[in-house]
Amino acid sequence: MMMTIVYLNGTHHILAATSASGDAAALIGQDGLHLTSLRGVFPSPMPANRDYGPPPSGEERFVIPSPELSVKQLPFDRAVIDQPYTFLADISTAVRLPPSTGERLLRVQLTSDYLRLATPVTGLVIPQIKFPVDHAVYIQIEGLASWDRRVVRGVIQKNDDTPFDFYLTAEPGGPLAPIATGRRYYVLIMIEGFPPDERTIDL
Amino acid sequence: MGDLIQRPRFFEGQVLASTDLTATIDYARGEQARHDRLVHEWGIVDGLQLIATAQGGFVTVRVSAGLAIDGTGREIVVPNDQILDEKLFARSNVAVGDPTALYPVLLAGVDAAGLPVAATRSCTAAQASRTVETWKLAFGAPGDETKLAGTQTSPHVEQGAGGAVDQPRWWIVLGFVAWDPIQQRFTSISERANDVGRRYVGVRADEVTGQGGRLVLRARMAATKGAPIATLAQTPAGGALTLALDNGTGGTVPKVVATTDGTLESDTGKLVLRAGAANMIGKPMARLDETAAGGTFAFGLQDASGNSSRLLEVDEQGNLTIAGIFRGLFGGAVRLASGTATDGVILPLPDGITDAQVASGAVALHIMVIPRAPGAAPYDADLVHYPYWVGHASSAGVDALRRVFCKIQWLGFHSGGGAPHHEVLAGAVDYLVAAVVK
Repeated sequence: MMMTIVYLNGTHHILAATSASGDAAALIGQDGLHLTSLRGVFPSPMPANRDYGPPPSGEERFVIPSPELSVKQLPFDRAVIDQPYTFLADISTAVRLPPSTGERLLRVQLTSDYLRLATPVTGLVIPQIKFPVDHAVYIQIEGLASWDRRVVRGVIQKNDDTPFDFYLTAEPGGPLAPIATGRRYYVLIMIEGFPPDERTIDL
Repeated sequence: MGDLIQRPRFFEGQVLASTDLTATIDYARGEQARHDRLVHEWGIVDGLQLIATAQGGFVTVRVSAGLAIDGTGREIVVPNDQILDEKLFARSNVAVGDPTALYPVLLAGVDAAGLPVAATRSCTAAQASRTVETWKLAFGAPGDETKLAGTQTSPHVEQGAGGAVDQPRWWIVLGFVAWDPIQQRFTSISERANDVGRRYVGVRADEVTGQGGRLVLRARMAATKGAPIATLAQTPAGGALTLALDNGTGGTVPKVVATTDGTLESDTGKLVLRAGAANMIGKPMARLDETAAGGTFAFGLQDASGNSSRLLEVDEQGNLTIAGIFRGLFGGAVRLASGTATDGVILPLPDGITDAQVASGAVALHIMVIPRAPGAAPYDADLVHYPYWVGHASSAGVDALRRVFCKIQWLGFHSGGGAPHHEVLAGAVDYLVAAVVK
């Protein structure tokens, strides 16, 4: 028995799975994959001395554009169906991400021009975060209007120190496309090897 | 570079030389040869058959009288039957030890000086006043027949019969003989060897036009019983192409008729359509058979013997038999699709059902989704501080595009007590899509 997974080209995060077969257009629709509630909200109240940046609202919603996605057939795995976001698509299998404790990896800051990923404040002394290997990054920012979307693909280079800044583009590799202030944005951050992160930010 | 053709002309008082008279003949002969060579294809026109007469364990072979046109446009007339000379064969030095070997029997045209001797008043030497258009029979070694096609070249365009002076003889294969090298006798004859056989005259044409509304192609001479015939005929409704067999008197027995109104008709009691040759296994084929009760229609894949595997068959009663699954739609039919899908996935339609059928109202969809059990805790739960979790589906369904939405509401209980922590995460559903044909 096989299953079909839909995953992000850049970071290989599995975003959807089904026992049905078909091409991307049939499985997710022409406009892309509609996603909500990829990650839980912060504890309330947030423990003192903790700062991961703006929290999720639980209302985040995203339409991942079809060109950013791929479809693959893998042997059926019930765990992937139940918790797809905890797996990455490998060549011929789905690989589970390391366990998460609810902590967020990075602190998120959004400006009109870029999104910054910085070292979080956790009440502990955390040195600047750096990675021993390159990590692909996918960022999507959705305004309340369906056309108000920014899609950024980038890389956190190995041994780079925080903060990591990603300038906003309407589509990966496209010209810079700043966002307007005075609006609410839903932010999806996918870093290769880590669970999804989503936030709601009023700019 | 060739010479221009010269046509003799005469005037009153002209003293005619022999060359003038010869040119008159040569002009006409050359024109005829060019026509025969370039408008037609060379080969046997009539007769020239090898005929074997058994004599004990051997055969006497003769070549029947006949006519051929060689590749130079030369006409070769063999006016009488000719016995193949076994001594000539023996002298030809082509024999090999294999008694099954086939030796080509070859014919070529030859010009020879002939009588009567011209009467002259001078004391010059007597000269022949006729050219005898004779012929020569020869035998080739086994396999020589395959070499002829590559070595015999047509004369230059302006050349007449026989070609230029240095044009080699043009050999025509009449058939083949087998030879007993011990007894020095012919043992049998054959029409073909090494895929080479008797070649008959043809015609070069991009277009052949009939005038009486009927054009006939015969594979054999008329009245050859069983020989295939193709007839293109004008009919009151347009036209028809008929494949038929000769009935032995020159008449036709139609077998297959294709008409310009798109009808394909078989008079053999069957009609077979194949997507490949009869010996190609697995090629699709459709077959219409006449039976005592009416007829049957079958579709299938071809087996080794050229028969259909009969994947589908309809008999004269309208009974349908299929080897696979019926995917067609009929009123009241229900098609199902089931499986598991995560939030965001568009559920598939059952096999054979299209979005267009659903949109038109020809098919009604009934979709049931059941949220899957969410497990013990959210995937990113802080189990250190919130070791206890309860999850249940807060919503599950599909939108108008059959896109799944499924939300799991989680309650996490802090080890130190206090209000539980709320989280909502996407989930997965088991689904059943039922398509009912109206």
